[in-house]
Amino acid sequence: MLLTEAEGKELCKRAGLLLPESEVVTSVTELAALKQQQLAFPVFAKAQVLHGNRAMQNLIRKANSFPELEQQVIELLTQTDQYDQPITAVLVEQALDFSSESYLALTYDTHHRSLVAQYSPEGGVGMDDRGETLQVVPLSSLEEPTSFAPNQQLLSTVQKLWHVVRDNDAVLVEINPLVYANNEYYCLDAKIELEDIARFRHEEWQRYSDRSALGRPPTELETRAHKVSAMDHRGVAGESFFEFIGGEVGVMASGGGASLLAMDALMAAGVSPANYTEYSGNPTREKTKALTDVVLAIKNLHGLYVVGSNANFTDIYETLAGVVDGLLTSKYAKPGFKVLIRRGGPRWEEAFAMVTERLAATGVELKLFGPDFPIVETAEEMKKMLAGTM
Amino acid sequence: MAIIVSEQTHYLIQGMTGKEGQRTLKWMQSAGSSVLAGVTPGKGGQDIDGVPVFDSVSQALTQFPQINASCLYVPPKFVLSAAKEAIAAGVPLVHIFAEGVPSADTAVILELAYTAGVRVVGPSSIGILSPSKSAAGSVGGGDYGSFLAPDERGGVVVLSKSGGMVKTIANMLTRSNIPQSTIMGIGGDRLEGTTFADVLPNIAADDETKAVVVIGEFGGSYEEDLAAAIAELKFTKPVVAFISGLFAETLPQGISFGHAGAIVSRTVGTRQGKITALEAAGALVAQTPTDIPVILKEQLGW
Repeated sequence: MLLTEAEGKELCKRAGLLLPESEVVTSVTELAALKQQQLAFPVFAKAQVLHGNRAMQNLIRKANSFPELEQQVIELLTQTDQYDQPITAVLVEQALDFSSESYLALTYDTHHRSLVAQYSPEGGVGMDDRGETLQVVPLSSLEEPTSFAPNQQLLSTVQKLWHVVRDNDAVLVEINPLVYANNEYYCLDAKIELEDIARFRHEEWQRYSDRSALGRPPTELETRAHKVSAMDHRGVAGESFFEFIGGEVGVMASGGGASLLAMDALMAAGVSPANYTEYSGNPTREKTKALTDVVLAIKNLHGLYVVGSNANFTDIYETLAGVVDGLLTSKYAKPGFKVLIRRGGPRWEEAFAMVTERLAATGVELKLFGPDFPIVETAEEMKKMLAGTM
Repeated sequence: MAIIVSEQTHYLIQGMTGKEGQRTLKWMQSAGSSVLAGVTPGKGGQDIDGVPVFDSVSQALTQFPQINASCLYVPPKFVLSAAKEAIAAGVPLVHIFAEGVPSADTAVILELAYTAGVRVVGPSSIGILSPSKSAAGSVGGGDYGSFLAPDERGGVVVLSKSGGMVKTIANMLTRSNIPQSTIMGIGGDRLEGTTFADVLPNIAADDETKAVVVIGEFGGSYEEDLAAAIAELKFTKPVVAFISGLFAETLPQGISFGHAGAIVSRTVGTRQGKITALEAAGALVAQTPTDIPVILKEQLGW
């Protein structure tokens, strides 16, 4: 879960990091209240959105007086971001006069397989171009860092960031830029990502609004799918659900690896998915039905693509029974709708017989492929099935 | 021979009294694995299918000092404490099945394991299977007839982040009459205890293994690390890889889907970056999984 700058800075502040004075405003009324606080200009008005490149989109603006700030805030609060989402909050932040800006991030690194600090003396926009100057230092997760070789002056800052990571189950804490002003280091921006799977030990995360990893608020169906995931602890169903507007085929993929392969195959075949979701780890029939309900609530689908690997332990009969339960109660259980299923694993043959029998009276066009059929080739088969409907 | 697990591997299952633990015990026993004990705090003294349950790992090891592997079948939030216990007791191989273990916990487990010289496989690993010899975890799910044990030609090792894909590919090899010496799901999390590169020395040393199949995906650096290890070790056995992640290129950066470690980035861990690195190291990258048996047969003359 990505935090807004203001949410991230709150965690930084709690860890003792220094930040410019700031206030979040969500309305003109709140801005008027701010007027009483004798702001020292210039200040920045920063749109609180969940994606980067704000400066390039003119979502960070400087104001030298209150009337100017008022105009900037009103403009920001009445416009949309690059995903056409309304901007609902603006961080009004004191401008700092600084002498240098650097980049400092703590994250988990797959090469070192540990927490690392990434440091570059060159901060600011254009991190992608910083490559050569970036130094990566592995950090212990058991003990607070006691030295920071790239810049010993930053040790205290690194230690505080270490606590932000460890105390909040953050997988990324990025300070860019970290600036030097008034003989101290200040965090001018903060990008923090919390690891959703650690939610079980963070009741305080309830204060964060629903958000999609796509950098926009979740769609209604995405929110519904996430609720399916929380139905019980058996298996995974709907934890990942992304809706792609205008897609022709509902996707219910199975298995983390196979689902990636299936999406690649659809793309290569030129079939446009209306969503991505995945169920695996032997979810219950009820949970699979609930996820099917969500997928089949997508409008204007021409088909349903149920493709997965040769499961090790997922009961194919139970899960496909859930898919059929959902299909039979949807508006798509009618002649002309295309359903392709490719599965292998426990009870797959029994499951295929059940699917065939239960869908026989609906007129749904059904194609079933067992464990010997290549996953990749199912996309071409889906395309052939759809050819008559487009 | 085989890699990681063999007839000489003697297991305990932490969390064996749970539903998943009991099911896995049956599968491991049917694969011929030597499962000597289970551990569930507070349930010591019980017996599951003839296997005694102890309250702690150290109690199990006192009774069965030959135990040299532990499979963890506990919920994600208990993985850290269970793994700490196994590492502290000196169990040299710890397999973690659970998906959804926070990276913060995994980082601690790996740090403790490296210091103690313990090999961790997982989290989110389906397990390790050396057909006709031994199985650790749920790999195969009792369906061991769909794997082909090595014959006089030897066999190939199949490695994947994904449990489903490792079985799918191994089954495909069986249909093409290509035996498997070991198949292993390393897990799809950001941080994994054993990576593709980590098992390369084991594969190099195993005379029975003639080639390696690696099923990778976008995100992270485990495929690039494998490419570096191939060059560093001067690994000469054929490495056949397949990397998925074409669709991921259409999504915004930072999204993870499929596996927790499959994180979209334009600069790090891209599908194309992995393919380029592996090809430069001499690996053969299949365009589609169905090409894998064809390439293997060409390379091995089978």
